[in-house]
Amino acid sequence: MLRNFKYIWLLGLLGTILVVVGVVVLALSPRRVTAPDPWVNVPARLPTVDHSDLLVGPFTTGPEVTAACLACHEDAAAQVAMTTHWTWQSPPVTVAWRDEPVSVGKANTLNNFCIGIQSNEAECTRCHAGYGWGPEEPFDFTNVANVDCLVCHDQTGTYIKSDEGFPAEDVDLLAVAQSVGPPTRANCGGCHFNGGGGNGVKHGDLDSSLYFPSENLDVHMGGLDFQCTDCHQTENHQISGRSISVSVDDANQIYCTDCHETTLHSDERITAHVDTVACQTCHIPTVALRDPTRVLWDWSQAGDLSRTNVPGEYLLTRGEFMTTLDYQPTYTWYNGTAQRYLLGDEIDPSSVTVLDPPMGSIHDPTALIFPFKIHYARQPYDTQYNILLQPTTAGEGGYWETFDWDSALRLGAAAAGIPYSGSYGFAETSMYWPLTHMVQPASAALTCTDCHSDNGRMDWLALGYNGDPMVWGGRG
Amino acid sequence: MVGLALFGANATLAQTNPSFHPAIALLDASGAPVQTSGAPVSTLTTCGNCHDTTFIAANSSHADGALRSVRQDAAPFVAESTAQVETNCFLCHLAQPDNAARLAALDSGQPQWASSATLRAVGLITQSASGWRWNTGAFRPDGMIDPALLGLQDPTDANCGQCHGTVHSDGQTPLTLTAGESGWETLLRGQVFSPQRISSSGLNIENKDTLTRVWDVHAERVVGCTDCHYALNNPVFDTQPNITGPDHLQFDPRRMDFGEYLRRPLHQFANSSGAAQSGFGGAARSCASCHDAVNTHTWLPYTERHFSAMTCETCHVPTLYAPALESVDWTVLSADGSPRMTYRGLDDALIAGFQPVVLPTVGTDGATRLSPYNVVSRWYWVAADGTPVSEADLRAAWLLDGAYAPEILAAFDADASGALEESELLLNTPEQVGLIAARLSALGVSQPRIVGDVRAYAIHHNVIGGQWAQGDCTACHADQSRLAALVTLGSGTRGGGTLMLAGDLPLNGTLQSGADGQVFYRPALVAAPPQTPLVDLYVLGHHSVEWINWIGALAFLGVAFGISAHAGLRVLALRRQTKRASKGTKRTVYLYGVYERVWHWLQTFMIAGLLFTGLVIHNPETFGMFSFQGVVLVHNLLALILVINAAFALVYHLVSGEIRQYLPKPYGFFDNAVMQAKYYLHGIFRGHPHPFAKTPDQRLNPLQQITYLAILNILLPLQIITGALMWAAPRLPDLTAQLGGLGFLAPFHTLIAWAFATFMVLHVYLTTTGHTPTASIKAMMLGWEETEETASQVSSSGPAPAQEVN
Repeated sequence: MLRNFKYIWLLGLLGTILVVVGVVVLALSPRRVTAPDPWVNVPARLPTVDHSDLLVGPFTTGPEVTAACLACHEDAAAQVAMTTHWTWQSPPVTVAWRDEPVSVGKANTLNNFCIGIQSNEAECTRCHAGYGWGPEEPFDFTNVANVDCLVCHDQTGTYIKSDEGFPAEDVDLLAVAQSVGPPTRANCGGCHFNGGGGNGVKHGDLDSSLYFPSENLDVHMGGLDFQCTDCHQTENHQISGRSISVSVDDANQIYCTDCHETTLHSDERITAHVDTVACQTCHIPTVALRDPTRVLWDWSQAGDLSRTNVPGEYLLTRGEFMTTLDYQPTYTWYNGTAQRYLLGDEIDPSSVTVLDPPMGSIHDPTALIFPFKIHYARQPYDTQYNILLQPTTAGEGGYWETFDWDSALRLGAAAAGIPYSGSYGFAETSMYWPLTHMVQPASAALTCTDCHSDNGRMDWLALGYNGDPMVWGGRG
Repeated sequence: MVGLALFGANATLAQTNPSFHPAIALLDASGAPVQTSGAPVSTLTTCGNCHDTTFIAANSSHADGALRSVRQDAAPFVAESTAQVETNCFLCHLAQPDNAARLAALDSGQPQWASSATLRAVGLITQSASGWRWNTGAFRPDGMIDPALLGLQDPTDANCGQCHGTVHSDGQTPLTLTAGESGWETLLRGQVFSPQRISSSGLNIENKDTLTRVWDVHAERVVGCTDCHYALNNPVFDTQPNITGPDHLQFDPRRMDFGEYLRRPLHQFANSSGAAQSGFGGAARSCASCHDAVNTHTWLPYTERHFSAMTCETCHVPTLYAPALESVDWTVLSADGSPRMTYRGLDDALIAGFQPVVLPTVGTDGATRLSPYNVVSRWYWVAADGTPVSEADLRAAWLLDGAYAPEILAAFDADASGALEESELLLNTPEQVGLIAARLSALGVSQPRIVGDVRAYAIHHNVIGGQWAQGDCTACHADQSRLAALVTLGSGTRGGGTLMLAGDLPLNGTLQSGADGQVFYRPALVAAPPQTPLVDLYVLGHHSVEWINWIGALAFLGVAFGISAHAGLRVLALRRQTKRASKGTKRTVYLYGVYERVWHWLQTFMIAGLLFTGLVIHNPETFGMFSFQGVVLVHNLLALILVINAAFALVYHLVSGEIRQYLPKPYGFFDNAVMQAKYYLHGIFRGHPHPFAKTPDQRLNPLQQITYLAILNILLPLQIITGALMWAAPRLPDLTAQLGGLGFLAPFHTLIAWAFATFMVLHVYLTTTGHTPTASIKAMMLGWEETEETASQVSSSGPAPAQEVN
């Protein structure tokens, strides 16, 4: 009998509440599944260790610091030596567009900015994560004692590299060494914001405004104070990420969808776009928001003594430039890989040679419409062999010293191992720079009429449509 | 330079639709080329070569080439020129029409040059002191006009925006408001048609950075003016109702071909007042013509009720962020000839936005619903016969050579600054009124006087999607309901005139005077299905019937007070009789079975929950922490559980025969009831035993029996029925209406709720009158009750079955 069971009311109360809450919860149960938390995929930052007591010096050269680092971090240099930050060249990759495997990178490939490093190493390797890569003799990639730890780990902001990648003379190596910590935007930006010879020249979506970005410039780095390595996640010094200017495959690439669901838009119209349009297309409406980026480099105008130097427009040594602020991207299909112009490839000098044409088309189901910055150039080529040439510019006897294209091209061709007939001209080239940084807040994303209107920014016919897919229908 | 050539390849290609229009020759009215005749172009002859311009002009609400913006809606003036000017095709069909030149031609008394002047911007004609001259250099050698120069096209939003308010199609350039002719529609309605986010606009708007919505979702989604306001016979739009054909046909493929359409395109446009009057079919479409609202509003309680009481715009045009007129005063003129205006949603130079007023309007289906409007008070001079004073006379009375007349300055320029500041530009004194009246009289206006009226301007644009729409139920379902909010109209009197209301739809409300001579419009909340008289809306959470709440509260408080007094007396009495306290013989009887206890307590929680949620629904502002929508849902669910529980209990009582407990025995019932009442009023204080002992067969005393009989047979059914009918109101509107509608059912439901609340208090109190104060409550929990032997015990239905305590 329960007559003396004091707590029976509790049982009744619980039962009643269960009935009521059960019914209400059943009726109110959400029908829409909430998007998973993007933070799940952002790694926790590692704790930093104060190295000021661990490194006592004195240090007079970079390699001395490296040796001190390796005393504890035994594998670090060997790890770095496996990365393209050290090799500047990828392992051979099998690609569909070429019979033999392709190995590309800064070390052996032309671009349409400073053109190429071969015979100009002394100056170019200021951005090499190592010491002593000069033009005179081949660099010993097996000697990991020359790995430069400081360029990525310095936290004083005073570490500056000089010719052949050696520390500049005034650098206080002890102070720099004692400051080491995980790389910040300042470490990566030192090279990557200044590619092409100056702030914002190359990428358009990477420049010094990202040292102290606002949310309106970049939601991740600004609003959320992301460091580069929060997305470019790194294991054993192998930093993830790819760019088609120096990579032909998409291994190790980073995607928005690593953290964000493609189904997160509540608007069906937007969701209908994610199969054909990359996130970047809408969420990076323009780049070079604060600092201008270069869109044209005309080497053929260099050496004109009648002209005066105007930063951003003309330099006697470089030729003529065009830069632009608030760059509106060009859009094309992109499946994440690109072809690449390789040394010695023949060109058609009557048309624009694309050095890194993105792969993909409207018929490629893996391709998405993706925003690019396109950089145009006129650069030297061999009018007899119809190949792009590699001049010696900064190097010994280079063009910046002699203003003699013929000798500069002869020296460069010898260093790069390509033929040079002695007759040169200037060919038009372009390079595609995928835009993926400077993601702006959703409230600044493109809206319908930015593309679907009479003055929209998509060239539908060039993309392979019969017309605006809003009225003509999309692919497949 | 190579740079430009290369860079040009990067420029995005404009995706303009190529114009198919062939080259045309501009002809004058006689059919001669204008470049040789030098006469103004005639659109009727020029375009009439291919298009049936006579037909077009005869079937167009835009046929009058002298048409101006909608300013005439805000200005009471009778049109100054009644001379019809030829239809101006160029104004709407050119990529770059020159409306300013056209208006200048009209204003300078050259209406015959209006169409020609529209071509000034493309360089075909120039104006000099000697008059209009065709620019022969812009004509092709064969005398035709290059179609690329004219850019003949379907009207774009920009074409419409020349007269119909601010249109801004460019997503990148920050939007600013257009002044002048094209700004009037925006002034009257606060509407801006643009795909741009408000946060990207160039306007000084409060909390602008948070307003990341676009101005108009249709503009954003590339739905332009002509997509809704299409030519009625445009074969692209399938406007034939299915019912016109035989049953076996769903689609009639026999359609007008494009050639015939282009020859005689109807210039009556869908969803316009002109089209509705034109007699052509398919004129009226509604949001539902494109949108399936029913399936996308499943979250909305009373979906159909909402749809039948208000238009989509009511929620989907929640706020307008362009300043709109509150009043326009033509009794005084600024130096530029414009009236004195006051605005809504404007705090000095900061735009705060305004919620449109919600007024009843008759929809395309004939039903009357609430829909957003802007309401503007207008003041102007009229002559003795009531005709408004013309703008020319008004200007003549106030201005002289583009400045204030000296007499005006003398009378109005209080601070002698030589200009009239805003505070001075008012008819403050009878002398000032008299001066203007005298000056108007001198111009031939007989007995000029001032009148004021109120006009309502429907708002159908600046629609926004669900995320930004009115989603807060308590915006309407609250005491301070948006639907019933007073609308400011500025001052209620001007120079002896008083503001008047027409009194018909949509302005069927009343004017209410406030402090400082301000006047407000008080909306009348009415709606009705087609062909049905308007009925007052009862808005849950907003409306309540005062006297019902008073009666309910009085009954509730009266009973609460009564039992408090009773309880106090019992406590006093108990102290006096402590000696006799434990005299009675106690028995423990099993009164309530498990099921009886379960249904009782379930019902207790349901009633308590229903009372509370009902209170929240009735008075949502006091309980702002709750989601109105959620509370309505919970209320309905609790009611459902209560009804099911009651039904089960009824079956149980019928089947088990326990129902007899509730049925008073006719014989001696009255005596017994009096005996029980006497006990409560007298015996209980003396420590007398209960007149009727509780036994499993007879748990209820006569008073309980009569009370429960009333509650279970009258109150509960009534509450269930009124509640169910309110729930069913949108589903069975006719039935609900026959039973008095929400306006009757809801207050009635409230009244019974008060009765239930009162009963709950009394019931709980009476449970403490058992052997000990908690004995009955424990019994309802545990089933067993300790009772005392009573005098009547022996004579009643015999001793209970022996229940031994174990």
